[in-house]
Amino acid sequence: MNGYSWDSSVVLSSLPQLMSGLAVTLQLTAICAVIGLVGGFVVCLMAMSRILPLRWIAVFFIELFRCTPALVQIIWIFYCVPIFFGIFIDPFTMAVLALGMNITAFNAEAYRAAIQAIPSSHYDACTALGLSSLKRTVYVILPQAVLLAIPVLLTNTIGLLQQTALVAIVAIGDLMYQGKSLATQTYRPIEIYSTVAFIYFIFSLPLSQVVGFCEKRLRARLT
Amino acid sequence: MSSCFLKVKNLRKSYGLVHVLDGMNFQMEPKERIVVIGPSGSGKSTLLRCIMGLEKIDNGRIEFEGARYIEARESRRKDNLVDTTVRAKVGMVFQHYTLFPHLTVLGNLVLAPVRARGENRASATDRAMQLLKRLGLENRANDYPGMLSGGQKQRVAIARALLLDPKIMLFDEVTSALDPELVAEVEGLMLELAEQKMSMMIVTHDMWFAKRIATRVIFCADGHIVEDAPPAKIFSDPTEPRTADFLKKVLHVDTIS
Amino acid sequence: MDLATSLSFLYDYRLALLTGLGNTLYFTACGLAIGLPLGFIVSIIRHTGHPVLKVIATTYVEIFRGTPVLVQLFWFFFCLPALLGVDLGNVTSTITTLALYMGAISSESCRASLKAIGAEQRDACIALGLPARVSVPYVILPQTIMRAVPTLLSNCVTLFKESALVSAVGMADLMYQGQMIADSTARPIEILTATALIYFVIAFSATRIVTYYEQGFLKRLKL
Repeated sequence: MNGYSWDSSVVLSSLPQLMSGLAVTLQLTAICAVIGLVGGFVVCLMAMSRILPLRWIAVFFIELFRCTPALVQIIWIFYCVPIFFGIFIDPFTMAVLALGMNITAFNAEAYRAAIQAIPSSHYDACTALGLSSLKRTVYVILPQAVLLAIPVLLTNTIGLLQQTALVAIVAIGDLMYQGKSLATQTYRPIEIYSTVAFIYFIFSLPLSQVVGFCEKRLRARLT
Repeated sequence: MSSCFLKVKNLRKSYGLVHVLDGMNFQMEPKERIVVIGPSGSGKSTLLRCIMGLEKIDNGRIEFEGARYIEARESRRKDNLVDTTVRAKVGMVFQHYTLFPHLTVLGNLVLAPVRARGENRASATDRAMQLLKRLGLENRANDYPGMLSGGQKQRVAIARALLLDPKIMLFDEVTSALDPELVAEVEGLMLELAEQKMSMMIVTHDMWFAKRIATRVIFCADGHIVEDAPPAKIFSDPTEPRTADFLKKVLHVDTIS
Repeated sequence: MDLATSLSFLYDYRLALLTGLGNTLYFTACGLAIGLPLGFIVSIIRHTGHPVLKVIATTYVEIFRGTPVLVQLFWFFFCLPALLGVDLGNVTSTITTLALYMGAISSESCRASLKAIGAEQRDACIALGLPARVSVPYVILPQTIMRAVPTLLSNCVTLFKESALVSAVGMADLMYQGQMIADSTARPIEILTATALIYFVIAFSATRIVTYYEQGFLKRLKL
């Protein structure tokens, strides 16, 4: 580093604006995470249902949102939904829509993989114990599927946190957006972007440690 | 220093607070076939793994053919001295075969001789094919392990170890994971090796096989050697009550008359 | 707005879209070419390496997994030149970011694969007297790679999707072209749908290949 001097005062003075951006980021993450957890489960059930149209819709939805970049999804929704439906939706809601559907698709896959990971011997045992199909699903399959899926669901949520940075491109005032505008205002991109990166990092790191912890516990409990 | 074949002195090993091996002492002569029996957790497998140099010992000394092989002292925590030239004379076969799944049977057999010992590939292949022929597996030479039965895999694993001309073979519960009807072919091979006077240490749960192959039986419990006697003696008239207790449970036969 | 008009409209812009696609594929390919070997090396270091190297490797992976790719791109574009005092050029910065990100995520896949190979293989190598210079290239490496291929291919698709972000720093990839045309023609639906479709076709095909590989090759070897 050739004598570049770090200016901490810039960091301190920009914190308020960054914090307001962080609030938007966290709001967006939280709302979409909840949508994703519940919606993912619903879509997963649809994808495994015997009613073919439901299954097709679900599979189409999952593949569409998993095989296209999140940025494309956001931009498409921002540009095309107002035209298609001829109504105005505020940017934040559109972002929730885009990211919410995105994580729903990934979570649906996570639930599906978890359900398929349950060995068939459990199903056999339920039959041997005389449990009806519904009871079996509710008391045996579901609890295990959710437990098994937790690490992936958590990882997807961490990914969601990173994805929210994309909304800065469509001018929603999240952490990344504030960082961008501050960096151009203060002409000190290193301090600002490093701080922004650091803030994202300190939110992601604990979550990823929790994932590791959960995986260990699950392996011990379920083997 | 007596130049006896294998000498284990004061072998100690713990996993955390558990003393898996708690001062093991024994000696072995060439061409002996020692079967190690005992309850789970008594350290039988660990003993074999330590002799193979797979585990670090906490304390003790292992000599092989009079030469210093493995040594450690409690004071110098986990600082094992392992003579790898001696280790090359020890062969081991495991419960779960551990063949390399991405190589063919022949590939598995010749990897060590060619890549680690610098043997010429043609001669190694020759020896390997001869060995396979003896085992009746020569038409499986180009198959992958995934296509073999458990018994075949285990016999290939034994062949793989034999190809390195070991002076002693260690068998760690090699039939425990096999279907009952496949056990015979592996035990048959081991009995053949016994006839050729191969020195062996075997850990097994199969007491009937132990009786047939052993020249000596060691009963381990709690990390010690409780009893060490020829099979005829130990199975019909054990000295220690602990031994009798164990055999009673395992063989469902009352040996205390 | 009928289909014929839409299609002819798209046809007019085919060159721009194809150029964009070309750039996307170029950036992705370069990122993969550097990132995949890097990820493998990093995973080996994290698995069996010098303690200090392990810490460096883990820090690298956690940083690149714990921060948004967008932030990483901005950092490499605007901060690194200032720090180093030399301008790396846009293409180099782009590829560096993508490669480092790919290295981080693929190291996780390789690490999981290494762990899955199990201590038993290590035991067999010691029992056969195979030194590291033999066991690593002939036993560990082949198995790690074969096992990790499905996840790694999945990582490749992820990188392909993340590459859309380089449009945000002004690189003329597929997303950039799509957005530019959408902005300048005020006909976003056709062009953005086409853009999404192109990403989709490529990503979807790639994921199908993964499934095919998993069902066929790996099952046969019973790895």
